[in-house]
Amino acid sequence: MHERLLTSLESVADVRLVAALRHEQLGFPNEKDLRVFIPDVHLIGEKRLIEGEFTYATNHPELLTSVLGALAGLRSQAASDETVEVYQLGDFLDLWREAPQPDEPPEVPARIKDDHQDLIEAFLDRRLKAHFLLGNHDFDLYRWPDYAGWERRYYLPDAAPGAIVLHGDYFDWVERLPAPIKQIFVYLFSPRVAPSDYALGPMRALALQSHAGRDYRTRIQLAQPAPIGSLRSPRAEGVPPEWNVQREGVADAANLTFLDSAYQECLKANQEFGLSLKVAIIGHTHHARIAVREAADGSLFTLIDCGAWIENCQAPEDAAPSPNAQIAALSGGEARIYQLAPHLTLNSATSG
Amino acid sequence: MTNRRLYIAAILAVSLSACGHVRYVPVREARFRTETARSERLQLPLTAAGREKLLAFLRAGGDSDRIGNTLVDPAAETHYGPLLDRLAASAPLTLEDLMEKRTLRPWLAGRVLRQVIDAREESPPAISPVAVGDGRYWWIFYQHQKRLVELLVTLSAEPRKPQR
Repeated sequence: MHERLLTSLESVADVRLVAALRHEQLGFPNEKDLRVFIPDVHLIGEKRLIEGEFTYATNHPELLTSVLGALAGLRSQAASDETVEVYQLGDFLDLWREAPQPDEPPEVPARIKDDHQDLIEAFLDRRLKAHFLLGNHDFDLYRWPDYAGWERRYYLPDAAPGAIVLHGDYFDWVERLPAPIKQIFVYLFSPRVAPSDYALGPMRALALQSHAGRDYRTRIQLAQPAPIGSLRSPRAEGVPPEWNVQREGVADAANLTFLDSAYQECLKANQEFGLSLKVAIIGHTHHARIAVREAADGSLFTLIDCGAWIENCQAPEDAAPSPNAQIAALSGGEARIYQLAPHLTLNSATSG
Repeated sequence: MTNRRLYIAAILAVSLSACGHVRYVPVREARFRTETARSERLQLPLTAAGREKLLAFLRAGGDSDRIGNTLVDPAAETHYGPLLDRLAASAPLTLEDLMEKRTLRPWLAGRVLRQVIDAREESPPAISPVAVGDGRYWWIFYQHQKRLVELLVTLSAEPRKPQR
């Protein structure tokens, strides 16, 4: 189904391959099961964007709207024995930049959505039936009834899951705040414990703590454009079994962010909860990449960081940064991350 | 702190929590709203037929069972007529009129909420409607690209508070 996804994407965008991994130990072998991941969007209202003097707005919202339309079409045309599911990985609405006070009423997300109606309607199109995660910039949505279906993690596939889908901010906490996260580990990784309102309180406190002292005017995650590997045309040059796969012990540390934490947490979850997680799929860092850790016994753990639709990235061959506009896909034992751009406008970086 | 002060503090805390505002609006049962099906929703600007339908609902006190047989609010035309005229005016109302300029405040002076729960729908709305209360009814405005295009009026579901 990767081929059909690629064809759909090419109908609305120029498509370049950021990274790919085809490996028997990636799991998810079903050729008729396609999962598509759309990372951080960080929408804020137009008025607030100006008043807050933010450098970065969502990249290419019209393109993203078209991509979602193409995905809805792909999903609608799937055969009865095929699965196409789309996941938004959190930080969809940037409540924190829109109204940087805790306990803001539900009018705040409504205000953001008022200014991006085409994109919002494309995301919430019932043909698409997208699944949403809560990120650290929109965590408070869990409190309001319109967002009752938004979660903190998903397991894939539903039978014998081998992958966990998270926003990724949890690994910030693991690496920076090791003391208070034991309870949160259980709520995120255990298949048998759903977070209650009581449990969500400490998570919310950590999310708020992560924003302390930050105004996000000049950056959200990246001090510099995210360094991605060489891009290639998946159509003209093909998709090799491995492309830009970052390996522990070989790759730069920046390309391995959260790999060890994700591995350790999934290993712990496997031991404590009888799971078989070997893939973690995240957003949050705004740095699109596939990173792997190979154990002595030959087993493989994979971190798929799907990138973002805000801030910039830069491939080594490009003279200038490009706006982050990435999606990832998993199907038939193969993961891919694509960089998208409006037709004929590759390499035009945006800010503001 | 004395036991008496602790007791008073506890009573105050319970009282304040009981006074917490409901922050969402439920769409009431068919009998208590201006439409049975979504396809019957009032279009804005109100047409003459739409105005007549809405006024009949208000004259019946928000209970469709009484329309055409029992009058509940004889003052409905006097009270709501100017609002209905504004909603029927050809100049379209915008989200800004409703939320920032509060153009309809003379008739709809209550709270403005963006969480509307309508269990008939397959999913929560992509774009949140705007609900404005007048004490008895919630006036729920649906928008497209910030222009108000549809209206649903439903009885409030909040418990009545006895006057002290």
